[in-house]
Amino acid sequence: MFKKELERSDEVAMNKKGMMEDLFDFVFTVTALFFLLFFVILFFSGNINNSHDTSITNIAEFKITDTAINNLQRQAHIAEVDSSKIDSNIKGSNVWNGKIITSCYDYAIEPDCEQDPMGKGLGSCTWIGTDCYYVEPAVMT
Amino acid sequence: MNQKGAMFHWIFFIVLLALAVFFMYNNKDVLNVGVKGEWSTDFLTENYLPAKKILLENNVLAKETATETFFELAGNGGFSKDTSSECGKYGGANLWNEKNNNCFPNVGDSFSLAMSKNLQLKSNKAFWNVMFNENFISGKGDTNVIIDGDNEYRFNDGFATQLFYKMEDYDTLFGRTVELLSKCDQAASADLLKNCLDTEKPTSWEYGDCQNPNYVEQDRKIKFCAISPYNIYLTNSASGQKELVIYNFALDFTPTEAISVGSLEVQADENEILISFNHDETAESYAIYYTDYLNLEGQTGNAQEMFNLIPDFLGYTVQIFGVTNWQESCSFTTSNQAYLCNGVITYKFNKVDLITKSGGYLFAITSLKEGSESEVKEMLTVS
Repeated sequence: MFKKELERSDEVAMNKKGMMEDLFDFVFTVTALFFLLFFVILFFSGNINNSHDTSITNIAEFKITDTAINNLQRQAHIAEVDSSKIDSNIKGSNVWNGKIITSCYDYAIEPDCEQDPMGKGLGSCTWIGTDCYYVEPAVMT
Repeated sequence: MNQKGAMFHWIFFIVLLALAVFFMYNNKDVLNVGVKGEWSTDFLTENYLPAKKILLENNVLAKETATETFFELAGNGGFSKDTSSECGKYGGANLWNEKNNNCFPNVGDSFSLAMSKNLQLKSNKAFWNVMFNENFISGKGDTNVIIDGDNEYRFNDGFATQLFYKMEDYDTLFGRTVELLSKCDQAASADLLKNCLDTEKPTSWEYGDCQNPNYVEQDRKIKFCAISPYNIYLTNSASGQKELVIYNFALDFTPTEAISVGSLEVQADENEILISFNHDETAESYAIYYTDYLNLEGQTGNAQEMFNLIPDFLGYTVQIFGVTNWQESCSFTTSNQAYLCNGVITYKFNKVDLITKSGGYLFAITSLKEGSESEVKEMLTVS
């Protein structure tokens, strides 16, 4: 009788230890998977963000170049474009107040034209009528 | 059991280590998330934008070349430098006429021809249907291909851009030329021609070159330069400065018909009559009509028609002498003889040779050239 009770108490103790080990294994597994997934997600999310930024940058660069060419086409229609400076004009295009400025001819309003914040005309951007023009310094004097 | 459990825990670190090694040394293209729209933006950047830039370069080059071509045409009187007027040249300038034959250039065709040639020299590309119309220059080219890797972008090469120029400049000049020719080709001498041109030529025209104006006339041909009637300035691509368009051409003021003789004067005494008039350098001979039918006085027009109206019982006489049949002398000694003295022709009549039933004489003089006879401009009456 006593022996049977003793065996039963051993079984209970063993079951408790086993259960504790199972619980520990479960917690360990969950923790391990958490960290594992954390690093994996961190890795991929970093890549996705980089991809997103690169896309935005590529499109922005395309838009600047595309608009710069359009700007020069417009300038070629209403004035002259120096054929030797096409590449440097395109590369030197900047964004000003959300508008891409390639030369004097791209300032939309008179104050911007006269102030020439992008330094496109080196003081020779002149507002005439409804548009901004580059006027040769010799002609201005 | 403990060892087995411990191994299980180590497996986690081994897996982490394996993942770390994998991520560190893997080929990034395999695991990296591709850039969104990468192919599209690459295609646009490497194929589309270069094509667009080529079209921009075409436009810029076409505008520069068109400007140079317009200067070239203007300097050659509307002809390209490889062609010349069918009427020939005078003083290096193309003649716009030769006697009554007009040789005005077809400027539209000249432009297309010269522009295509100049563009080919500059760009090594062939363009066709090159034209200028309503301030617009345009031309078509071959299909061009931009290849980047496996991507191809095909587009129609060509150009179309604005250039502020007026072909009407030529029409205005042609109109003024016809007007000037009609006014001055009847000038009978070199001096009269110059006087006529000084008075009648537009103020924007100069003789010879505009830089060094100089009146030089040879065989009634004169070289002119004219400032653009519409005051058109074009940008000289070499200097970058705007320059006024200047046209160079030459005109032939050789009269198309015999010139009416004017400035008639008469000196008469009891024995002789001297009829004087200015010499026409273009005339081949002169005809002196005289009659005693004084009713014709004051009439002008065709000499033969007028003198045929004279009644038979009165009649008229015609004395014709060629330009080589005169004496260059200011001493009028012989009767029925023409004299050339200081550019004035004098014909001496002896009154004895003239018969009159009306107590007076009526003289009319015409010039003859290439089978044509000038009209009678004025008559002289001698009583």
